[in-house]
Amino acid sequence: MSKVDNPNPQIHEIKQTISETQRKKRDLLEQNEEIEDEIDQLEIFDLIRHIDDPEHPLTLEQLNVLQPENIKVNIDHKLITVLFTPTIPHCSLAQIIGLMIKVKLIRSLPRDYKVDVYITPGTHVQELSVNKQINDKERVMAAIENPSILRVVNKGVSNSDRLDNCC
Amino acid sequence: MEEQKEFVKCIGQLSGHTDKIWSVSWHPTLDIFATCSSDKTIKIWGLKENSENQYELKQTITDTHERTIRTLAFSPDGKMLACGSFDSTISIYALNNGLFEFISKLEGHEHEVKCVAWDSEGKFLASCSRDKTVWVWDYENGFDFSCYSVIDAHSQDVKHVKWIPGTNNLASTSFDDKLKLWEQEDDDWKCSATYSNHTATVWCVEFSKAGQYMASCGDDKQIKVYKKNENGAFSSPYIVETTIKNAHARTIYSLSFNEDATFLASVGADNTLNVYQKNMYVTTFEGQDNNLYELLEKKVNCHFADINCVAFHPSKDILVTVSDDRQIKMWSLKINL
Repeated sequence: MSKVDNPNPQIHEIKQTISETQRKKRDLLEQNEEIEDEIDQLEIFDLIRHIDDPEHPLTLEQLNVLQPENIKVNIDHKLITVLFTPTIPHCSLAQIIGLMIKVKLIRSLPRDYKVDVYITPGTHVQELSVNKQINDKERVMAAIENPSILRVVNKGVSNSDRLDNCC
Repeated sequence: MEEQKEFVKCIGQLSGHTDKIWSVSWHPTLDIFATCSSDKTIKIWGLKENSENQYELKQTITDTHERTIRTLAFSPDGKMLACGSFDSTISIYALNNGLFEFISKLEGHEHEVKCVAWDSEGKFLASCSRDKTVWVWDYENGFDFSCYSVIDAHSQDVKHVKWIPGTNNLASTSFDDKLKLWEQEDDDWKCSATYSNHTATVWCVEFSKAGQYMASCGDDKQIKVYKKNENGAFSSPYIVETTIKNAHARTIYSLSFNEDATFLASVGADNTLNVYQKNMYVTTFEGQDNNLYELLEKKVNCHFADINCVAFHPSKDILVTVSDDRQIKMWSLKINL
């Protein structure tokens, strides 16, 4: 890569999203095959937190691009809404990051789920135009059929299924 | 308890595609329709023998496109089928002994082809693309297609293109939130009207068969119905008559008028089919807001995912819907008297 948009990003300490006891309780619940557990905020976060940033050897969680409180799950409408925060307001990779989040969730969730991905309001100069493109299903489908874009997306999501809590 | 009347009834479901189905088009006379999909196939479905409204798979066309097949349309004489793909090409098939055979590939668009449309006179085929242009292809010499004109139509992806019935004029919609009309002038088309009354991507424009109505829809979840302007003093060929706000809960992808414009159907990303019926009492009293079309029935979550296209049968009150859930559904309609 010739030029890096944000050469010195702030790396954030991974926050403990829930307490250790809560996490253990939740893990037990998830492992119990007899209980049909609903998809929740943290489950969605687990699916996307380890996506690699296209520019740095860091995850979207480490760069604070993704936070669990910016994920909304509407079970009745089977609708997932994710807000992501680019590290700098003129990041030229916002579109590809949005696409990676969208692709990862579409691939992981049941087919009847819908996924909306937006930039956290006020955090990017081209917020509206990026939002419009990553939520246009034709654009998304065409992008993932494009081998060079698909390569970048796959590289970002390829290592994102780790279950560990920390890097 | 009084039984609730059902005007829109599901009469069949067809499976076969293995990925999102994007588009459906009826043949003008043969009681067959075609569907296209991200599985890169085109499927032709026809009426079952000795059946009134049950359809079955008649033909599958493979290996003509490398990516999603987005759009398709039968020519007005029913002899040809045109399909447009995200691989930026258009393929043409000709009817031969009951089967559609590949005859030609039209190349020229720089990006994904989003829509194709034949004019009613049998002279032109129009196509539009993410490359912001509309191409007009001429095929007056039979199956020999050549580029007739390239229109720099919009500032963003052109989503949909349609011919205004009975004319050589076009309508196009775009990711730039606009709907534009184009009038033929010599060998070229000039913009005769720009509508900026949608606030987001306009996905579809449709005309009633006789051309008296135009309808548009899109990301702003509104349906607009326009009436042909018979008053020459105004420059717009069509004037907005009715706006249906929040017609769907998410993006509206497609609209269709039935043969005599009694019904208007809409589908979208909320997995829902809406059917509107023309208001029989359209005399407008002062201070009374009479919609040209009123909701007849809403089929909520009638597919498991986005519904991408809806199309009325050319002569019967039958509808087809196609979806990301890979299913095709057939619907029969009854008028509410």
